[in-house]
Amino acid sequence: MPQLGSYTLLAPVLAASVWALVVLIAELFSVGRRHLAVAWLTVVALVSTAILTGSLAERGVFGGAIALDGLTVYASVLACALAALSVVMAMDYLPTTGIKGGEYYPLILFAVAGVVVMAAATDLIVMFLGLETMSMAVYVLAGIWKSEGKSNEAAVKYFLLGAFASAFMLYGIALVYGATGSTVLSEVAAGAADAVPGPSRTLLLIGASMLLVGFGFKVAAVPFHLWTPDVYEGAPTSVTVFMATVVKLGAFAAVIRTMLVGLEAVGGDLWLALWLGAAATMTVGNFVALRQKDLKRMLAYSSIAHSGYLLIGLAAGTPEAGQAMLFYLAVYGVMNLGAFGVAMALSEDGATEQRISDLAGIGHSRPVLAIAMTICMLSLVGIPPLGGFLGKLYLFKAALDAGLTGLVVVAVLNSVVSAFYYLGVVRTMYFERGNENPQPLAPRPFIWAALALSVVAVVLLGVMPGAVLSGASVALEGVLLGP
Amino acid sequence: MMEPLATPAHYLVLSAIIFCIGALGMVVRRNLIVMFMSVELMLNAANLAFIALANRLGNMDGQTIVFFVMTVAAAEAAIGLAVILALFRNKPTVQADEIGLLKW
Repeated sequence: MPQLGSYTLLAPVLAASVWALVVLIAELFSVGRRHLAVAWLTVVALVSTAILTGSLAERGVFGGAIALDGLTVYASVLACALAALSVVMAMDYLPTTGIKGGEYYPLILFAVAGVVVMAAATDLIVMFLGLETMSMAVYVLAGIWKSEGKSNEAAVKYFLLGAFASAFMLYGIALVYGATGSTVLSEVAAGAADAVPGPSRTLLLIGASMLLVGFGFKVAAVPFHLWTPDVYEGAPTSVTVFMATVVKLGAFAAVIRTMLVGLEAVGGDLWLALWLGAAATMTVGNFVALRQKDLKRMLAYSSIAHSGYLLIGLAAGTPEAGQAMLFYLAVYGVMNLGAFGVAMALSEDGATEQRISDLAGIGHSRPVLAIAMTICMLSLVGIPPLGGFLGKLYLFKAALDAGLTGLVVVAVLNSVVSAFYYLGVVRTMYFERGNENPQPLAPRPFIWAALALSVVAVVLLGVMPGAVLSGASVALEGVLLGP
Repeated sequence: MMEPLATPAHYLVLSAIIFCIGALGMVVRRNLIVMFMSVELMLNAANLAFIALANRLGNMDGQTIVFFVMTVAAAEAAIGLAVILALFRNKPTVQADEIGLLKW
């Protein structure tokens, strides 16, 4: 029996899951208007988990399956921060919808616990379990507005396609296990490096491809993106923003550990598939986004396009590309929180549908929200000095260093195309006439506070990226793969 | 001594066939419950593959993994049926073609 190792190594996972249970029980005793107390408890849970994780100095692997290293710390702290901002926005947003149950908050915490496990897993099966923990919480969250048909529909679609993707991933893990005799990443990596061309090598390649298909579904890569616009539109907006930021972070953190570092030896053979996947994902996402009339659908296609940019890092396959991906995930998270935050601040009745044309004239009637939206849109295009620019710069530079000139050209052209629809939103806000005297919005202090934090973060990541950048580079130093 | 009728390789082929039947069912069928059953078929195909490979490799990892997967499948069944039921309460149908508020 191998040594398990110190329980400190499990601290991030334990903190997130124990807090989820505590909030679940606290929710039982909250009646009437005390939902807000549960929400604050959730924020405390997320912040304390982030602080605890950030302060851990010990590094190692627990029981061969859960690693505590830079990558775990970076992904967990970022996931907690993004989730906390989405929870603060939900405090104001949920009362405008028909969502009654307080189970919303524990489910967010369970999903975050799943993300932490995904980021920390050094065993493919443990990663699969983390993925399922996260996914199941999010399936329910997508459908949590039970009286709204669209929310139900989003949950059913997300569930069926998500479960389909999980099955692919599981079968892929089975084949990798067959080829290398283990599911622990270090042993898989050793087996992959030794594998001579032959049946075992073929099995490994098929397995790794199926793993990629499963990840492709989760990060909404073309051609596995079809669920994204429907689910993003149908789910309550505070859940959509959680899916776009935290869920994508979890999936990419797991991709970085398993594919970029663990299965590095296989990456070379899948190079063409990753290249084509990245190019197709960017192009399809951006071109279809051009034609969208609904704000949430447009942001859904934009999130597909950004997955394409992130996949460039995977195609490059170098540690620098991994760092750039991690930094981009932070920038991408706060940009999306800002954009969806404005959508939530403007929605009167929590409606799942929100047309871009409804934004007409808010440049004059609601100047502060319009400025926040403009900053986020400019950052999504990648205009300096905002965070989106630096994120793309590091990503494209890592790809150039890895020799992917063609892919970078495609990505830059795509960024130009994306300017049309992002700036289209800005044009609608400032240059189209809307309702001159709109109803005053109900005060929503929490959304405004979270929105302000997100926008400040977008700007700060552009002008002073130091702390996050060094976190991302530490994360890729000494990634642990097993005992 | 007699040769065993079925070797791990046979079971692997069988699991691949079951997996394909599941994947095909997911794509072709339009009844939500049947689509969900197809996914379960795919998960169980993966289980069969794990067991066959564990036998071939001579280590127990694959057999332990099956228990985890069965737990996941059970949790997935609970959530999947609940989600489909919530949809059914608003619109009494389980046909994927008839739920069209969002463009599928």
